[in-house]
Amino acid sequence: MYGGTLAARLVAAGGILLAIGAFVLLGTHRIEAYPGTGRGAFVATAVATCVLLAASVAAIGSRTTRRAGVLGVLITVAWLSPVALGWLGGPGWLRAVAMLAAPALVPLLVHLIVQQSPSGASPAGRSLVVASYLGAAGLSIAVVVTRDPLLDLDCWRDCAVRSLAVAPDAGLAEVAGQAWLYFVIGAAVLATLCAAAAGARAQPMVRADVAAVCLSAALVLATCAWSAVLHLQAHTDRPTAALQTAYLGQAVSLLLLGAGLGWQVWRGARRRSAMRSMAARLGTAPRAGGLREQLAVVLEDPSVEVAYWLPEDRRYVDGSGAPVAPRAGAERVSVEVRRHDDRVALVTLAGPRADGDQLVEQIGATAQLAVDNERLRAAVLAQLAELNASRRRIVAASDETRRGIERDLHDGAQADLVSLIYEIAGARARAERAGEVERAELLADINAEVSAIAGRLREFTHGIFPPVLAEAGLEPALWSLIDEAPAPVVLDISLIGRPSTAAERAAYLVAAHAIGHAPPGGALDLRVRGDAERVRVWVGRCDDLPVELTDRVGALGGAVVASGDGWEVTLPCVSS
Amino acid sequence: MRVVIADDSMLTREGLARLLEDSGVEVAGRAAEPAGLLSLVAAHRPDVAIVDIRMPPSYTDEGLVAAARIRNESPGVAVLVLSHYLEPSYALRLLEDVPQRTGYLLKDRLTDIAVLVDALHRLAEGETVIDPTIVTRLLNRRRANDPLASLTAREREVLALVAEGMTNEAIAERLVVAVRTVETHITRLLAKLQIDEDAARHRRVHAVLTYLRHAQ
Repeated sequence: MYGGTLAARLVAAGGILLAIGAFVLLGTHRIEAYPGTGRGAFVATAVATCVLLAASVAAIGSRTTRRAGVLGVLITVAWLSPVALGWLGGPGWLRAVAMLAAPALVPLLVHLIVQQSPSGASPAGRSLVVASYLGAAGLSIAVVVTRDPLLDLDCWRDCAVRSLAVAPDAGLAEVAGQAWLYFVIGAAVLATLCAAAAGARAQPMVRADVAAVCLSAALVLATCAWSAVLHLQAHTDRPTAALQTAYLGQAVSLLLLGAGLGWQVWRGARRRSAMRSMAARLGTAPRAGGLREQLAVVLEDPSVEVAYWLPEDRRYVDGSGAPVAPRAGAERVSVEVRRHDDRVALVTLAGPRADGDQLVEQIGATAQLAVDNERLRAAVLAQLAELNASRRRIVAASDETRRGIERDLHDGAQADLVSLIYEIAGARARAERAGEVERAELLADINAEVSAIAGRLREFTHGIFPPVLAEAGLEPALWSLIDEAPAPVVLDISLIGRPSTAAERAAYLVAAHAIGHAPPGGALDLRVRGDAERVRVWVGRCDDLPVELTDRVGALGGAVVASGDGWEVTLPCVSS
Repeated sequence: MRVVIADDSMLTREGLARLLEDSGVEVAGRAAEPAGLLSLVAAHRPDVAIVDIRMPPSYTDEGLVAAARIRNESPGVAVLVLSHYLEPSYALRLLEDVPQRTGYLLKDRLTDIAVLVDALHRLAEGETVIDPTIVTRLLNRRRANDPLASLTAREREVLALVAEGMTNEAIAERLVVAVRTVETHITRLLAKLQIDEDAARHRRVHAVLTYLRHAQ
């Protein structure tokens, strides 16, 4: 189906008609213009015109290349306008219009290059385009107004067009003509720089086709500048051999421009069809979590990000449910995907791109199911992550409480018992010095009792949460635990580095439970392996873990697996 | 004998000070936190600094940190760490750098003032003192392929006393045997455990403790 706005279609149709008219003239009349100077020039003009027009008309059919297509048609028309000017028997008004239309070729090419550049819509780009149109218009009007062809000895093709020469002045005409030629050369240099910048700054996936169009347009301008230089040297408008060669070069470069534009159209169509087929694939069989990867492949942009909007939480998450803050800037551009006026997702791409709207259309129309599935999945994952974080926080809070109890007992009851022990020891020493042997022995017995009570209290506080676990790590803490174990324990431990605090605590409590509840008969085997990634605790011969311990293991994302007579607990080292 | 005492619990600190003064030990100063302790040590140059393992601000290992600083800055001052913790790892950390003139005793085992005063004198003379309970625990730890199993009962007894920081002479006195006999036991048991028997007497304590802690 052929798209395009009415105005663009009219431009296309008008351009085709004018081109046909130009070639009819060339075939039937003697034309004093380059295409009419020989068979070679005629064929080159015909081929370049056909290719450029065809590519431009095709470009108008697609929204992303429509502007470039319109400019391509206008460039063709401006380039062919000298044919009308050189029609010696033609109506004066037509030749006058052609005289004004021909110089438009230069600003049109500048416009095309700026339009292709990623910063084409910026104020700087716009002013460059406007300035080149105004400059071209001003200079060419100055030339036609001041120049009287009858006074020009070198006059070639426009000697009869006098209707516009309202203020003939040979001196001014000479100055204006020279200024125009310098303008062409300057525009060519500037446009070449713009073309190089546009190619370099274009988004990677469109860089090749932007560069093709920009550089071929710059090449056309270079041939214009070449002719201008020849004109400055020769001071003549007559078709010298050198000027004819320059014209042929111009025809070839316009042919290349047509080819570049055609290539851009073809690449765009291929991308759209890839996007459509991706949308269809996602619509029929969406793979969970795969949307970002598919978009990265189709858009040829590995940095593409998809953020899903969670309306309840009023935040964005990525496909795995992790919170993200999408940022658009000069380097990245965000495209919002909406449905029924509701925000659904935000796609962030590298660099500004022309087909952002189209992207939304494609994702919105065909891949809604996939986007919705992805968003639901991301929402569930985000909730799960929040839930797990909350479980870890609860465990950490309960640990803090336990440590607090341990500290209170240590600083309170234990300190009191120690000062009591010192007190009794002092009394005992005094009794010994006074020779009261019985009294001293009694005090020694009492002190032994108090010391035993202090020892039991120490064991009790150790079971709550020993400070050595936090300060010296899992291995010394486990050895201390085993020192006080009711039954023998054989510990086989190997730790590389220190696991996270949460994993250390959980491993300690699992081991403490196993040691405290070992079935009678023989030694309990306890094997601990750990590194910065995870801790594994293997216990032989033991009953099931109580629910508060499996909860703790679960909160860390760990697992309890039956293994032989006992079980193995795996604890990932996540920080709480 | 002159000491300074650092303990954040006023009751314990004063109780201990009175106990020591009654036994003829001069208490030159008392501190409640590490900074005060360090300035007391600098001002009074005591024979021994008695340090509580748990002190402000974080109540974790300030005592051990302060002990290490005293050992570095005032090598002539012995340090006795008093602790509630029956943790060999703390004792080892304390002994890691300079084992001589360093001691680790459990607070709630100090039921007999004579034991404490004896420990202070041994420390002032340059020896190492480790609570026997800690050594017993280390010796009782069971491991797969335990090399300690190859020791005789007498050798185990001697090993425990070496780990407590006793000299060969003190061990001979305790076991009522000749010093030569003790030396023979020690040479044999160190060989069995493949511990390097280097000359330094105090390194020996550390080597034995480290062995007991890490041997698999």
